[in-house]
Amino acid sequence: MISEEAMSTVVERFLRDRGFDVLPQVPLKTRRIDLVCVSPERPQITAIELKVKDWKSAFQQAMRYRLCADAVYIALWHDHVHRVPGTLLGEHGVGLMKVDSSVEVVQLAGSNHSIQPSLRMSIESYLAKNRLYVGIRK
Amino acid sequence: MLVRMTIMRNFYRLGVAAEKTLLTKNPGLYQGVVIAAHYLTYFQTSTENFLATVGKPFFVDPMTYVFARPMSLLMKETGSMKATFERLSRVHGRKLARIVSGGRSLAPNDFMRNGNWNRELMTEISASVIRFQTRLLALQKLTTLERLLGLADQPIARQTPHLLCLIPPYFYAESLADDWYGISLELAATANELKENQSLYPVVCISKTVLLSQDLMKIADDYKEYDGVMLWVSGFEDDREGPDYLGGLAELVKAFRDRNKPVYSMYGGYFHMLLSKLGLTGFCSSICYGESKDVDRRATGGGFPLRYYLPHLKTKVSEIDSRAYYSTYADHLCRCRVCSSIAERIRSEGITKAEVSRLIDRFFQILDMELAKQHFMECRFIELSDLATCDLRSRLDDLLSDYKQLEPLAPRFGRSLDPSHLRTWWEVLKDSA
Repeated sequence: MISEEAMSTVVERFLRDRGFDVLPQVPLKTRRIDLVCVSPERPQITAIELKVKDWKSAFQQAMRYRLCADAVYIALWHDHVHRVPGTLLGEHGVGLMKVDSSVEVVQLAGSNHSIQPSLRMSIESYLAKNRLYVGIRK
Repeated sequence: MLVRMTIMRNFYRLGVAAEKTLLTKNPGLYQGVVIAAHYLTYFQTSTENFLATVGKPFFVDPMTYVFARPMSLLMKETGSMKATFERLSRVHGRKLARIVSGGRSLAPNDFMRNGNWNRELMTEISASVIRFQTRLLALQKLTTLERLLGLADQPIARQTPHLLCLIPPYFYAESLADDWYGISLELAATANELKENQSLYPVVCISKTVLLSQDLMKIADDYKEYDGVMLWVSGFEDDREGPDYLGGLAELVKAFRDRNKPVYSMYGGYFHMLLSKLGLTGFCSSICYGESKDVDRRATGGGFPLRYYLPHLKTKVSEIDSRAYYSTYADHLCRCRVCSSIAERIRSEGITKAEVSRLIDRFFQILDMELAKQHFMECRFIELSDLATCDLRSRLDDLLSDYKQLEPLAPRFGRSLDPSHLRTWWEVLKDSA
C-alpha cells in the first residue's frame, strides 16, 4: 500500500511544477499541517492534509486548518476518493485532491471566512523563516 | 419536589510550584488540597508554609503503590532512581528501601512469611507511612513559618490547616483475587491500629474491570469498618468510558453511601461531580489536568501544553480545538470571571461580537496558562455550586440538551470535540435521578 510519505512527494512535485512553493510539516500550535503551499501570484496560504484512505480524519484535520489557511484541501489515494461525500466538503469549503502517480484536483476549495489572524500570522512567520514568502512576486 | 442538597468537596492535587500561587489567591474556589508524598519529601518546607497560609483541609497520598509497579516508573532515563522516589522509599521504612534499592519492585511474597502475613514488614511500612503524615499535624507549631511571619513587613494571616484523614499504605489490584487486594486490606487494618484519634481512609486502588464484576458489594463490606474510603480506578476517564464502567463506578459509590461511609475519589472530572448526587463526598484532580491516572503512567515532567476547559462540553481540549469550537459556537464563550474580564478587554480594543474570528483569536492570544487554570477553577466552582442547588434529573436533562446541540461537532472535528459522553452520562444516571 502507498504511504503518506510517498503521497506527499507526489503532491509536492505536482504543486512545485505549477509554480507553488511548498513546505511540509508546518506547525499549528500542538499540531502539524502536512503540506503548506504559497502561490507566487496570490497572497494566499493553502493547507493540505494527506491521508491514504481515512477521509473522515483528513476532513476533521482540514477543518482546523481553516482557522489559519485561505484554502484547505484533503488529498487521498485515488482508490478511496469515491467514498468522500463531496457535498460535505463543499458545505465547509474543503477541497479534494486525488493522488496516484499524479494529482487531480477533484473539488476546488471554497472561500474561507474563519481565519484567525494570529494563527495565520504564525504560519506566515514560520514560512518566512523557511524562506517562503506570502505575497505577489513579480 | 424534594431537592437533595449535596455539597461536594473538591480537592486539588498540588503539582507545579506556580499552582501554589493560584491556590493561595483563590481560596474560595476549592475545599482542600492533596499532596503526593514524594512531592512532600522534596518540597517539605514550602509545602508546609503553603498549607499554613491557605488553611485548607488536606491529606497526603503516600504513593506506596508505585513501589510494586515496574521499576522503570521510578527511574530516570539515565537509569538511576529518581531522587523523589529514592527519598520516598526511605520514608516508608528501611525494609522497603532495601528491596527497592536492590533494584526490584515489591512482590506479594515480601508480605508473606511461612504462609502468614509478614507482620514485621506490614508494621514497619504502616507505621512509617502514618508517622510521615502525622508529622504534618505539627503544623500548628511550625517554627520556619513563624520565623518568616515575624520577618514580614506586613502582617500575614496564618491559618490552621486540617488533616482530613490519614491514608494507609496501598497497592493496585487487578481484581479482588489479586494478592495485592488482600495486602492493601491488611495494611489498612494494621494502620488503623496506629491512627490514634485521626480518621483513616484506605485507598481502594483497582482496575476498571473490577467495576464490571460482581465484587462491588464485597469491596464496600471489606472497607465498612473504616472512617471513610478513597477510590482510585486506574485509568478511568470520565469522558471516555462506556456505560458499563460508568455504571459500575456509580454502583460502588452507592454501596459505600448505603454503609454511611464518606467516599472520595482520588481522581475525577464532571461525571464524578454528578456522582455527588449518589453519595460521592468529594473528588480530587490537578488544576485543569490530572482528572484520571493510570497506575503505570510515567510522570513525563516538562509541563503540559495549554488546555482550556469547555464548560458546555465538560472537558478540556487543546487551544486549537478550543478555537475551532468557539468559531462554531461563538455564543458559548464562557462567562466566568476570568473569561468575562478577557472579553471586556477585547471589547475595549474595539472588537465587536460580530467579528467572530477576530474576537476568538484575540481571546486565545490573551489567555495564558495561568488564566486557563484560573478559568478551570472558576468553572468547577460554579458547576459544583449549581449541582448543590439542583436535582440530578434537571442537571442530566441539561447535559442531554447540550449533547443535542453539540452533536454536529464530532463529524466535523473528531474525538477531541465529541460530546457523546454527555449522552452516556445521561443514560447511565437517568434511572438514579
